[in-house]
Amino acid sequence: MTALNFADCIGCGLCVLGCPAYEETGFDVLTARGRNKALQAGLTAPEMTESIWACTLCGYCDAICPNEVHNVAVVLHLRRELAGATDLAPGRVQADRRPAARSRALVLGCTIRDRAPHLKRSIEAFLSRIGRPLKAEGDEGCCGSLDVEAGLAMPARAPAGVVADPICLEQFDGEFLGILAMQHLDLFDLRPPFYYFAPHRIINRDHARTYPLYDALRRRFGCDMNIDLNRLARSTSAGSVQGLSGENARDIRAAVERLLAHSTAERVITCSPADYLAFKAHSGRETLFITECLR
Amino acid sequence: MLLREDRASRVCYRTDGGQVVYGVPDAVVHARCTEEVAETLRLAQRDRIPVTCRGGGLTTEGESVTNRGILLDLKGMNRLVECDGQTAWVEAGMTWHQVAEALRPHGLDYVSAPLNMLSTVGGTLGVGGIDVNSPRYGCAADQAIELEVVTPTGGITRVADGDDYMERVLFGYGQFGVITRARIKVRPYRRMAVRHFLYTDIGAALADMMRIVDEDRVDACAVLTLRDDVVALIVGFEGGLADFPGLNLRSSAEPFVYARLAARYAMRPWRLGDLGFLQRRKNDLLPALLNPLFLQEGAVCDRTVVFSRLIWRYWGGPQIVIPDLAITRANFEAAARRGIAVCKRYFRYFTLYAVMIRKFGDRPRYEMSAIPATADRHVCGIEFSPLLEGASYSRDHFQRFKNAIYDVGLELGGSFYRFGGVMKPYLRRMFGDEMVERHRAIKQALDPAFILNRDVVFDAPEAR
Repeated sequence: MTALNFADCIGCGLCVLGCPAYEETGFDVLTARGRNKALQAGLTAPEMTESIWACTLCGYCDAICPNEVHNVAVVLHLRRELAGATDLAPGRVQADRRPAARSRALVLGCTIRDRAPHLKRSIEAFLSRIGRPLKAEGDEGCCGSLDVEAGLAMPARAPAGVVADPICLEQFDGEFLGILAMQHLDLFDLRPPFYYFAPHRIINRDHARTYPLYDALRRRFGCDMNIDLNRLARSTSAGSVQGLSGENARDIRAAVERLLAHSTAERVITCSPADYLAFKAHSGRETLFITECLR
Repeated sequence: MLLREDRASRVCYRTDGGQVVYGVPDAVVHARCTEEVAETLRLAQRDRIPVTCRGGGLTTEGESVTNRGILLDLKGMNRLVECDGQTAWVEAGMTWHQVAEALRPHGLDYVSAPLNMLSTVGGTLGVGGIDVNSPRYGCAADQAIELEVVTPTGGITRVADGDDYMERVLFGYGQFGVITRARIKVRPYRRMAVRHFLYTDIGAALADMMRIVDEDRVDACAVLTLRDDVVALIVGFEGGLADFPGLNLRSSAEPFVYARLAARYAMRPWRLGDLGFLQRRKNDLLPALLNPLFLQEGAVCDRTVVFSRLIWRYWGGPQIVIPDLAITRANFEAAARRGIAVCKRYFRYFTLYAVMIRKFGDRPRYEMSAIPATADRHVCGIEFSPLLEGASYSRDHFQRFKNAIYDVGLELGGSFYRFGGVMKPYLRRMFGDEMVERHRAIKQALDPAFILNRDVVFDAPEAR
């Protein structure tokens, strides 16, 4: 289990730079630094509920922390404390006793299945083109990642083939669709100028492996991106338990406007389903899921 | 204006970058615009409520920590207001990281700012702000050409280069007003090729740095040491690595430096553990400068980001203790050697960081600041930092160490960068009663209730 090492926070504030809760509110207390300082002062979870629920688990703070504080783990632990849950079972996906089938499956996730089902065809077409003809299961069900993020369940690690939604990767060991897309850029019609929203969870949590792929996209096409000078990804907060449930949600429209403030590109492309819907709703620009750009 | 009084919102400001001084304010005000700062100060002046300003909160002597009154957080004022390609109006709560992010789409960069990008513009201009390119461009405060300032009584005023009030506010340690906006110089963004050269003696490294600064051969330079075992002159050149100028330095080849180290430790086997320290710290430093994510054609992109992250990795710890000396060229080497001797008395592991800062004549702003009175074109700064390596020391131990370093500065006729907060007792010894009383009288006239950043530099009336 990851150590709850909030005591190691030295208060540098690097985590503040890309914190979506901070960008929206300007409140130190809602950042990893603020939480860690409050915990160091002896505050308990019930005294910090606003801060605990402000975090969208984007992973920026973990990736940039010079002292390797596990800020995401701290928040999840505090949420479990708030939920009064001391002995939680793993999330729902663990209850699905078909690992062999799952290991070959395409996991679409609730967002695509319920709110953007039209993407399914292009996703399957892309996988077919790269020699991975996976099909989404009809009775996929919820993987329970939102329960995990809400502190109501423990993470499960179930095998999967390809996972289309970053938030589902919290529960599955599988390849992320967006990474596969970055490895097959020639299959897509990506005429610049465009803005590519890179999945912040993927980049910030597995930075060394994934950042170079998205940086290659940026260099090749000269596209604008949500990558800051720290080479980390900023988020809209749409792909979080708050954004998806609507409870304690951050101002996603304002986040979209901030991200696009310096971009004149008329087209937004992404491989993150929740962000796809957020940009479609709030950007006023043509928004495409990466597989919709398949040649 | 957002006023927060809940405990979590207050305790997250309980300490600063130094983590030696602690205090929890009664309330936090998050200002979003100049008028909100003005309103806060008007009300505080009327009700005699202390107001402590805070930007990045990266002071080390408790200057931005308070245990009473209002903590005024200015980081919500973080917009680039306008940019004409030569200058940019920025709100004072912007961190330098935010300034860099905002300027980069225009192909621009700021001229000089602290390497620590978490510092805010307002806080930096209030104390100076030193960069590795300060030998050419001077302090960050010298890049400001116009300011919007809220006076301690809540008036809003705009001042330009040459105005008396601007000369007081820059380097003014937040005593004479709150900077809310600044027009700063900007320049084209460029990558920087960085090289380092090793020395076995601090004197040779400092002499080489002074020479290449005099000759204006490179765009950035600083001296960094690990104890006094390894001394590195780090130089930056804005261009490709292939264009790096010849510098004709007296540095030593790396194998020679390591062989000498090996010989030294062979004679002192009981200190062999120090080699582990040297290796660990080297492993922190070099990969950060050679991180492929930030390298392009051998040059560092966004060197401020690289250096800022490196600083926290290298210097960061449960306490950050950085006494510094601002000294004349003539006393540069003596200050370094005597400071190193002090470090050795107090800590097993330490580092020294030395830079040079261009001085632009005898501007009034330098009068009570880290820029010592000298006819030289440059002044010299040295920071001495213990590297704790997991060891614990008492606050008293740290304070005695800082006092010992500052005593060296006093004897050599220098000044200090950090003379506020818990180092305030050195103020009169450093600047003399006449100067301190004169500045205090200006403060008293501008701030009748003595509410703004009280006790940070001057004694409050009731304490006298």
